[in-house]
Amino acid sequence: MAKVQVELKVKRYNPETDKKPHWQEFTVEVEDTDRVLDALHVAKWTQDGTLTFRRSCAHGVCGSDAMVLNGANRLACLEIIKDVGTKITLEPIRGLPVIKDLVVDMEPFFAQYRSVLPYLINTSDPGYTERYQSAEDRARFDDTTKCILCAACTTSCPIYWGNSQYVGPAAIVNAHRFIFDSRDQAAEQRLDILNQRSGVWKCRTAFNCSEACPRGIKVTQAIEEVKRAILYDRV
Amino acid sequence: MSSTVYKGKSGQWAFIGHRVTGFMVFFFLLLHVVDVSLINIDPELYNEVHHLYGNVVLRLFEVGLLGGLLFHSFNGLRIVMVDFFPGAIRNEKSMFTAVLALTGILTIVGGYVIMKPFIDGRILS
Repeated sequence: MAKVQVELKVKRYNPETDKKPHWQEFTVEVEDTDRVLDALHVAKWTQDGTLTFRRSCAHGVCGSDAMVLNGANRLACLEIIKDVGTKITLEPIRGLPVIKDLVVDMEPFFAQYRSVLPYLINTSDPGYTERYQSAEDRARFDDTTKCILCAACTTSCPIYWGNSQYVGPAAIVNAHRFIFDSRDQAAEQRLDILNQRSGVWKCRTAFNCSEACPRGIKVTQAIEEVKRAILYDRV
Repeated sequence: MSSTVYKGKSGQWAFIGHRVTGFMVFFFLLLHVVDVSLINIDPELYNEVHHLYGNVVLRLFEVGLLGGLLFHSFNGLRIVMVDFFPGAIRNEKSMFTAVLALTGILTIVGGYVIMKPFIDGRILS
């Protein structure tokens, strides 16, 4: 563990006072085992209280602090200074409107998430028993249960940058989670939603989403599985 | 003030390359439709325009076109593999390397054939 000087270059924008975004640099002293989020905290708490970013749990679970870190989408709370170096560039994630500095309006993203019915739909009454599911059936969608809705995948997608109508990788991942759940009964409904112009066919397999996911979800693979489920009409 | 270029990996560059070569090929096809249709208007003009394709600049353009076509074709097959074969997605990076290698080798071979008159010293006007 060693103290290091970190140069943070942050893209700042306050729509109430700024005509366009500008870069601001902060030099902060942190441990090399600290995370980028810690460096942001030092900058905000000791140098400029107006520096604005989101964070909640600070441990890679809540998905609040996705940002473009040295050019690629990452969670600031998971990236260790030792790994990313002492010159760090931070920008808000792309494709969503910036509210201030690193904070974007997540509402379009959540609306797209809601559009795929991301909850269990089963109208049958299981009575006083569980809805049984075998370990194999559970494993079918295990990867996509890990999503924390940080938007790192969706906002890394070049198609999403150019077309905000595309539901985006995160919505498809969360649809996948229920489409392939043996207890769910609304797979067909979700596949119909994702078969529309704004759905899975917008995916051009650029793989940025899979590279960006802080949970290691194989996002492109999940999207491809949904594409094939629509194509072959088989879950 | 500009943003940084997003640091995507091979998949992003395959996507961008596919788009760029797609546009290249599309615009060439437009040009090709025009130059071929000239035969209906004036066969002499058709001959003159097609004679132009023999000059060194347009031969080099054809080498570029060949490279674009090859990249677009091989990468298209890579995308088809990713779409239809569940196992292929694990190898998409090596498939992209193969796309680049095949494009490079065949462009050099095809480029040699296209540029042969100039390499041999025969100059076409």
